[in-house]
Amino acid sequence: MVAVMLFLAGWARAQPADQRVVFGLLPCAGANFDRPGGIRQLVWELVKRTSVEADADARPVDPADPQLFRTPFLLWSCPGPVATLSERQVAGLAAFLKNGGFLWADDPSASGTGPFADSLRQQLQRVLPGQQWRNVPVEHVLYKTFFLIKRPLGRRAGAPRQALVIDERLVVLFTGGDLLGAMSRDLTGQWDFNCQPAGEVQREESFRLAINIVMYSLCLDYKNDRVHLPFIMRRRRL
Amino acid sequence: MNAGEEIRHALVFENASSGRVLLLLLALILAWWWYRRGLLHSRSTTRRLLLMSLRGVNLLLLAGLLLGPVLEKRQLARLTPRLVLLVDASASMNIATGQGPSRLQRVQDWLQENLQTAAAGSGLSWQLYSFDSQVAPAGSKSLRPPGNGQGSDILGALEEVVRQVPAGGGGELSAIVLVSDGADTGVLGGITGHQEVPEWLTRRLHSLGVVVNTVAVGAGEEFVDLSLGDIEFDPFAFVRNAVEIAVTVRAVGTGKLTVPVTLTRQGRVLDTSQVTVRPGRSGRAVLRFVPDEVGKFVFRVSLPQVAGDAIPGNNVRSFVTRVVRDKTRVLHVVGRPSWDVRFLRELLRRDQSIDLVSFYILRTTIDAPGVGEGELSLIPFPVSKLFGSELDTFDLVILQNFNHGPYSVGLYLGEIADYVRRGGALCMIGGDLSFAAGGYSGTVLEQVLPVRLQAGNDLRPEEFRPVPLADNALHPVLAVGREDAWQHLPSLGSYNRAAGLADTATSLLVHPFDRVAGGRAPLLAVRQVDRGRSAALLTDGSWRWRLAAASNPDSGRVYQRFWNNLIRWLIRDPAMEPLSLRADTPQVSAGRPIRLRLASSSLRAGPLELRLRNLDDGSLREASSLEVSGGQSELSLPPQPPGAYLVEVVKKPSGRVLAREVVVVEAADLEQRHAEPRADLLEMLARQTGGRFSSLEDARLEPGRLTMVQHTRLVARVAHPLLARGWLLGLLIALWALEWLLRRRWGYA
Repeated sequence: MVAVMLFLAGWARAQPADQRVVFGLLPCAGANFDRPGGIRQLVWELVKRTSVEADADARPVDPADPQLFRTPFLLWSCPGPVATLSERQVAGLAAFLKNGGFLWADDPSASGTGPFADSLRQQLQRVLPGQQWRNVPVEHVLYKTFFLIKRPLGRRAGAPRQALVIDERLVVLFTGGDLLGAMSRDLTGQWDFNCQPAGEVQREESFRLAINIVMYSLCLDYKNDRVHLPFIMRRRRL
Repeated sequence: MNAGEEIRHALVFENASSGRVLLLLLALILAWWWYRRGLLHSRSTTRRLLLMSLRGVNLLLLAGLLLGPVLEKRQLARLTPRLVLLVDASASMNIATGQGPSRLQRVQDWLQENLQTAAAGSGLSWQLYSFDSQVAPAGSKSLRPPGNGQGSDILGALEEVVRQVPAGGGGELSAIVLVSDGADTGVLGGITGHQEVPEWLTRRLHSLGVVVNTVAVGAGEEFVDLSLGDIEFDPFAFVRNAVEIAVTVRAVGTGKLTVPVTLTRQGRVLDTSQVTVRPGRSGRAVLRFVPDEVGKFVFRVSLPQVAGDAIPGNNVRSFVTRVVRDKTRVLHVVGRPSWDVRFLRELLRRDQSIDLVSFYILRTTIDAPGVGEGELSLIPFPVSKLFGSELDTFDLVILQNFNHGPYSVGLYLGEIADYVRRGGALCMIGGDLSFAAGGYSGTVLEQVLPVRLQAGNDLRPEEFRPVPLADNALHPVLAVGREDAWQHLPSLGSYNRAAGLADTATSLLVHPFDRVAGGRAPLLAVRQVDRGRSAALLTDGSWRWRLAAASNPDSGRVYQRFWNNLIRWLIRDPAMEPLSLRADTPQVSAGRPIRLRLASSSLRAGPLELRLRNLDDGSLREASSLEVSGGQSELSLPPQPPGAYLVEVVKKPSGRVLAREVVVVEAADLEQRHAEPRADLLEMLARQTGGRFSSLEDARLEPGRLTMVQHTRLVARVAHPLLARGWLLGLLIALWALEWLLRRRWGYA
């Protein structure tokens, strides 16, 4: 595993920045992001399974910093509440989202409710006032951007998946089932958490969903192009 | 009584006017009817009839007393008949069949002979006119119709002559003598003399109020002509959409024929259709083709000549059609999903004028999804279809950070290069899988790129801000708003370092410091390759210009404008050309100048030349220096013979064509299409107006050979009243008295 990490770090340095997905981490109020192993494993699987290149290390970003716009994929996941944003941070994050940026919010509590989810909704209400959370139905292109997903899961099944949408584009995706927790692995290669109730099958499904989320941020509705539809329809029926 | 005079008798009523007579008759009828009603109860029929007769006679005498009937004796002098000789001067009169003289020449010979006779004491007064689509007076002694008129409006000419002649004085018109081939291009063209004359035509001919004698020219000639009639075409067509052109073919003087109708563009046959035509009837052919490039083009429809074809010129017709896009069809091929791909896709998808076909490599040959194909949304990459059979259906191919090697696209690089040369557009966007890093060095595709490639990996990770090359800063692709817009954009993170610029390519954005062979390292370069265009954007970081708009308001919509400009330039949108040349009308009549408008936008073009080239034989007809000072200017080229012409604005001394336009100069087309002698029509005109029809060979301008109205002038008048008023009054009183006595005696009230 150490060798894998070293490979990823060295490989990432060799790639040009504009070809890599770099996860930008938004700030938490108390304890900081605690799923770095989930990100590393996601990147490992992403690079192994797809043509996408990604950076194994998430990068903390300040929504008020112009550097925010160098990391179009933001991740907000905190053990407790998210940080309360300043007005400048609110303005910066709003501009980022309206102009093409993507934010994935993953709830480590795997409940879809609680301090993280509540504070997240509160802060995003300031960022995108008036926007309503919508459920993401299983027919959405998100579930076919790479894998054909029938049961979107996480560490715990049954949690909500909701989104804020601008011009039919998901700009914020909230996964309540702790996807990163399902993918999180320590340096010795052990999974940090068990997946409930379906175990390893559920973990695999979680990887697939996480990869689809990254693919959606990069390709948007590519898999809704009419050239893909006959193939996807046929495979869905299988 | 003198010769030339005559006596006529007539019964007239001195005091009569139509209104007065009507009122009087009405009053008498009412009075008689009232009187009869009063006698209906009489027992004696004899008495009733007698009284009624008396009252009737009384009323008639009263009417005679009031109207004053007179027998009039008139002495009339016969006027010299005033006639108009109306001769066809249209272009169809110049037609000659076989080796004989033209119709016009025969008419002129006939005029020379007959006008002398007419002038030598035939007792007729002549006024001479010629006509085509209009009427022209020609004096009274001689007439030399020009025979070049662009139309033959016979009915209009007759009506105009009738309007003009009374204004000239000299009494009423006795007759018109119409000399024509009857090949009418006006309202009479569709009427045959054998069918029932339409009511509207009868009304208009009667309203002329004059006899028309018709003289048919060419009535007996053996006229053979195969001709193109109406061509139904749309002045606009959509590229890669089938276009239909309907053509009417007419044959005169031939047997039943089956002939090919051919559609060509610049000598290239686009379609041929066989059409069968019967003598005197029209056949219809439909030609189809699929335009493969946008622009304005001259198309030509042609028929073969038949033996003895009187008018070979009407076997060919040209027309201009502008081929436009309904949607810009873009093929977007991507080697790996990235932010650059994501933002360009969003731009392309939002543009309603773009029909986007995308193929992204989501999994390479070394990636292992770990699941079966049935659980993936991936589809096969249809390489042979996209880059083979379907390639020409795209207006633009974008290869974005795409390495051709693993997907066998290398087999089709020659196809893509040919597609560009044929008129397609290619844009290659940089990245670690593109340009030299993508294995394009030394390939046939490199030959159509705007840059020359290094060997090996050319990707340079480096933060820098590109700058417009000063010489080309006004290129329309770089018109993204403020002139300093490029200075405010965020830096890029890498670039593909080219070996240099390709011949004939133009560098637009360059690295601020890095130099390669021939100048600064290009970041954006464009190139015209034969009929197509290519562009190279040697970075995968243009997405930063889009997302940067969020952090820097000055950036505005630079990203969107830049890509819109580049796409429109690549697909040769006329609005993106520095010069545009438009003809006032694509079809110009022969003999008229060719008028054009030249519009330039911020051009620093240097010396220019305006050239006019005949597309039929390639000859250069005109070449003149041109000054362009921005804005719009009007140009005029001298009249040209019929044919298709290309007008070009050329940069000197390089000879690069900056703008072009095509025009068609049309011959006397209408006249050529309606040139068949129509004796039947002339015969019908004579019949309807009471005139006489004759062929030119039989016609003479003599009184006995023409039908005309003899107008007279009143010399003297003698009136003889039929009823002397005195005795008429006495008789009336006596009869009234008798009637009164009888009524009293028989006991009537």
